[in-house]
Amino acid sequence: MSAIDIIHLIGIASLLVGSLAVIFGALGLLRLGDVYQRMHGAGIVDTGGAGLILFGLLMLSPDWTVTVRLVLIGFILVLTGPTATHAIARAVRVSDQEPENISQKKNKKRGRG
Amino acid sequence: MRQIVISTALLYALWLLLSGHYNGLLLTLGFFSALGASLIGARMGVLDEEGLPMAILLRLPKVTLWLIWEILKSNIGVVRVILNPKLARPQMVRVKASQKSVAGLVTHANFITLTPGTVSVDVDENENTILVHGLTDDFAAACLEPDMDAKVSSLEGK
Repeated sequence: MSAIDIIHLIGIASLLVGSLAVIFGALGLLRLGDVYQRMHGAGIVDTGGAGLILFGLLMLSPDWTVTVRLVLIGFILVLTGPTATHAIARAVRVSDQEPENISQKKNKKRGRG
Repeated sequence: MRQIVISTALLYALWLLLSGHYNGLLLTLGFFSALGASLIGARMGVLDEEGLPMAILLRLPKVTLWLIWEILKSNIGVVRVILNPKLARPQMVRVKASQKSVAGLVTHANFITLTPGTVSVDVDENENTILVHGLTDDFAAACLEPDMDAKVSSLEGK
């Protein structure tokens, strides 16, 4: 087995694990409680899912132009993903939706920003 | 002026990497479109320390590996909660941030959101705090630890 084969195997494994992460993220979107918790499920798709799939594609990329584009896609996803998630979270908070299942003590401690 | 040069260089490098055409005419046209975009950006007043935080961008590779490791760890943690939603103990915590610049504060908030299990809900730039929604006790406690704060502050290098 040559070095290229091993790199390809790593890529394929990474693609599989990444796909699994996306499935788990989707499952989280369905199963978790309120909108705040569901965002954590979406976070898995953003980071673990997209990251591992991009890494897998990186390992399988045929030439450097594809590699450069994949790295750029990863960089842009890292910048935009959390920003979009934060925008949703902030919108929910501004619309006065209180998170579910937060104990009374913690509610008192946290003042409204 | 310095910002325009840096921005033009970055945009031109991006153009070179993406275009794949390397003859004289196209190289010149590419350069002038990069320069034009930078000049428009400068005229709009977005090419300042906040729009082009070179200090942070240049030091970013330093924390990349650590960040990837953190993301992988908390991915596993969140998957565990998804498989057993009873483990979820959602809570809000206020995280103190020691960053001095707005770009640094945004980077901190983005890092918190980037690690699954914690989402930054609100950033208070006057008090330098970030309101974070954590999925469980562990996640909330992890972002109260000064670890990530110190890493992001080291990016600012001031």
